[in-house]
This record gives sequence, C-alpha cells and structure tokens, in this order.
Amino acid sequence: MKVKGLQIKNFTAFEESHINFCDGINIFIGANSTGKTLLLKLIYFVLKSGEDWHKNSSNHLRESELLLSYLMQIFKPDNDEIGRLIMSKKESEKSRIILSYDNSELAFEINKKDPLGVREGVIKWYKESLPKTPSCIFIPSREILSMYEGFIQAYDKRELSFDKTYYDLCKSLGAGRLKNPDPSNAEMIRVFEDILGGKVVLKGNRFYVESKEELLEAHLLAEGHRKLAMLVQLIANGSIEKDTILLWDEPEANLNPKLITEIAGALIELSSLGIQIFLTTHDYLLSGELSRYAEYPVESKTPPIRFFAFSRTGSHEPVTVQSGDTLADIKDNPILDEFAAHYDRERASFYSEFGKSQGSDA
Amino acid sequence: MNKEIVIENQKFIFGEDWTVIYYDEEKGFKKLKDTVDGTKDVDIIALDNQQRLFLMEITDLRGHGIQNREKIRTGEMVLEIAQKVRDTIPSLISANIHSPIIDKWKPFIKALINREEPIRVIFWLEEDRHIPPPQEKRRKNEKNIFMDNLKRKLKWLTSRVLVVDQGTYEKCIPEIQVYNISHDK
Repeated sequence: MKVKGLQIKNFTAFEESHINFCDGINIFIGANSTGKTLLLKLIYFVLKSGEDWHKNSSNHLRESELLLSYLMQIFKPDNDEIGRLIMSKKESEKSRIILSYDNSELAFEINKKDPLGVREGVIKWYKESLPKTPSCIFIPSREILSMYEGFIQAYDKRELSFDKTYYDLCKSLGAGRLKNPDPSNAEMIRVFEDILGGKVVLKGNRFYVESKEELLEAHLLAEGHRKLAMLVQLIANGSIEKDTILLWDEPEANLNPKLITEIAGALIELSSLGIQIFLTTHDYLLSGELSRYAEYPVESKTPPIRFFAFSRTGSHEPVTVQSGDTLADIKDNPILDEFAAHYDRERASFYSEFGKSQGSDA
Repeated sequence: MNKEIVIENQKFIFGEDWTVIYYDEEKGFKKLKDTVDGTKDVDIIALDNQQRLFLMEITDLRGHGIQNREKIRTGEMVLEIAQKVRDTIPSLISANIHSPIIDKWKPFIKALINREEPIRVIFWLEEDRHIPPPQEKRRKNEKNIFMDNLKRKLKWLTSRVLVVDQGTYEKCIPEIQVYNISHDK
C-alpha cells in the first residue's frame, strides 16, 4: 500500500496544497519553517491513527478521541489549543486533510471549536469507520537509542516535551530481532553492522553494540553511529519491512559525509524492497546523491524518486510546494542556492581586494 | 598600452600598468622544464600595478568537455593545476638566475616572497554558458567544490584561489577584461 497524495487546506502553514507522491523515495527540501517536518508528521498522524485503530480495535477510545489524542501528542500545540493548528484566524474556518493511498482515502476536518461542545467533535471524520492504513515508522532528527532506557515508562507516566513520534519509535525499537529476516534485509544489516563494528543488541533496557572484543553502550557510540544502529535495529526486528512506510526527519543530522553516502545507498535499497520513504533534508550531499540515483537510474533497481521544494515568502505567508524528478528540476532549491551563494561570496572576497566588491548574483 | 593575450578562445586584456608573461620562450624560464621532465607552468604570470603576483591557468571545457569533466571528477585536474602552480615557482627563480636581462624577473621574485601580499591563483574554467538556471547553480557549486579542492592543494602557497568563467567573472578585477572570442566578437 503506497501513499499517493495529500490535499491540505488551512493546516498550520499550508493554505491550499495538493501534493502527489511517488511510490519510492519522496524528498522534502526547504529552508527552516517551511513546513517539511510538519508535513512528515501529518502523514504520520493520519497513517498511525488508521494503523493503531485497527490494531487496537477493542480499545475504549472512539475514533475521534483517538484522532484528537494523536493530533495533540504529535503536534503538541500550546495548552492543547487545536485552533493553533488551523491556519486561518477566522473561527469558522476549518482544516481539511485528505490522504489518498492506492484506491482508498482518509479524509477529515478539524474545527477550531466543536458546535456541540464535545471536545473530540473538533475532528470530523468523513467515512463511517476509520480505514486501515499501512504500517509506518517515524524517525525524528534526534537519535533516541541513548534515551531508550526508561523513556516509555516516563512518557506513560509524566508530561514530557517529547512528541509521540519518539514514544512510538522507542516502542518499535524494543521489539526483538526476527529469527529469519528477509535475505536482502539481512545483507543490509550486515553492511551496517560492519560499519558499526558489531551487532546491535538490546540487553535489559539498554542498547549496545556487541563485537568480539567488547560490549559498547549506545551512550558511548558517536551520535551518527547511534542513528545507524537505530536503523539496523528497526530493520532487524521487522519494524521496517516490505510495505512499511518510512518517514525520516533529517537523516543526515550528526552523520559524517561517508555515512551520509551509505545512508543514501540504504534508502535506495530499502525503497527497492517495497518500502515507501518520505524524508526531509537540508543536506547537499544526501539530496545530491539521491538526485544522482534519479538521473542515472539502473533498470529494475532504482526506485521512483521525487523531490519537493518547500518555500514561503514570509514567516506568516503560506507554504508553496514545487516538485521535480531530480534536483535540477527544482527551481528554488535552498540548499543549492546557499552553496551557489557561498561561491559568490568567495568570489566577492577575492575581488574586494581589487577595489571592486561584487554583490551576490545567486 | 594594454596587453592582450588569446588563449583557449579567451581574450585577456590587462591594464597598461600590468606586467604580463605568457608562454615565455626565454631560456632562463625554460631551463627547469628542459632539465626536469614533466615540469609544467601556468599559462599566464602577471604583476598588477601594486606588484601583486597572479598565476593564471585557462581551460576551455567546450569541445573536449567529456575528457576534462572526467579529469575534474577524478581530481586529476585539481592535481594538474596545483602541480603547474608549484612548478611555476622554481621556473621563476630559474628565470631570475639565468635571464640575460638582469632586472626582468626581479619584480616577480620580489612579489613571490612578499609576505604582505599573497599570491593570487586564478583558474579560468570556461564551460557552455547557455544552460537553465538550476543547472547554472549546480555548476557554480561544482566550481565551488573545485575551488575548495584546489585551495587545499595550494595551502602551502596561498589561500587566494579563484575558479571562474565568463558567467561568473563579470570583469570584477577592473584591470583584467576577458572576452570569449568564439562568441563575443
């Protein structure tokens, strides 16, 4: 099951957007505060709601209660004010979200206030029942292997500033490894564990990398390696498998360039196994590597790849999204713009010693 | 009087106060090249009116772009230019020692050892200009990466390294004008 598209009206920074995704890797680029992570979380919110509703169909929550609870836990608006997620200032305006996948769709409205005075009534479901959605994993930009110990218990008992994506990921990480992983997954695990220098293991309530020589606590690993170990654990325990939808916020954070190249290769591998991927990035190398795969596709190996550039003309202006099959198709690419501007500044510095300074022409 | 040099389809016009050497056949300058196999020099050696030393290498990627692009990709071209810059330094010393014109090379040697004014290295890398804006930015970025790599190879000599072409030069050193003679008549 693949996510095909998303229609958003009046949600956070999005006024009116219709976005069509590809079945392979969808890459969101854009400056800060242009809604990339929000969109990633929105997809996660919708998918996770459908997934958990069917997984826990006997639970005590009504669908709208579950949706409201997830909305609050994932987006964490101040004082649980749902109106903060709606773009328009008008009380009567609503947000409308339609996520389509394969031949089905999941559509709902969010109101600032429920006319009947029932809190969960702010979310109105279009269909009679919440449809089943594909399973999904959200990896936030920060690694959480080192904070795994005690996190789930703390989240269950106390108010924490971490959103639900961290909690859900911790739960996924805690699952035991599969006895017989798919051979392609096993190969990927082997490659990454070679880089890590050992096998990722969960002992008690802590993660380690175990080699012949030592058992190294996750806390003592470089942060980039912790991230890689996290990915290994999720593949090894089947949380990421065929038909999973993987949403990854800034995979490049704290990774060195060599690891970024490995991650780009892993994303291609994962996607070719049937995993649909959505990721945000600010990284030139990661986006460039993925664009290279798109520009030089290997038949039957390279998955579909699509780039989405998010931009807005001011901090209160709506987000616009343009898409392309390679980075070169994107007119406003802030990563490339900034690198090109760096080249301009470099030239300007050189020229400034000859009595003539030059402005940026990026 | 201005000095004009045509090289790789580019016409360089230097201001009248500049001292410019291009492919000097003088024995003194060629001595190193004749003695040590594999020695190569940069295309242009110049001094501006403030006696600042410029070493310039020019390559036109148009026409034989594929081979040169491969050389750029593998890092061979960065190394080649760095070696040319390196070899130009002893060639200048050799020229100063052996030149029949006693003072001809003195200002270059003076500029070479002047700690107040760093040596400027310019690599003119001409490419097709008529490309859409996104590719243009990408190309700028490639130049940026090339410039960083060249800087690393030349850090023993200078940090003033520029990689440029017609599209990005924009006559920003007022006393050096450059025209693309295959397009700009």
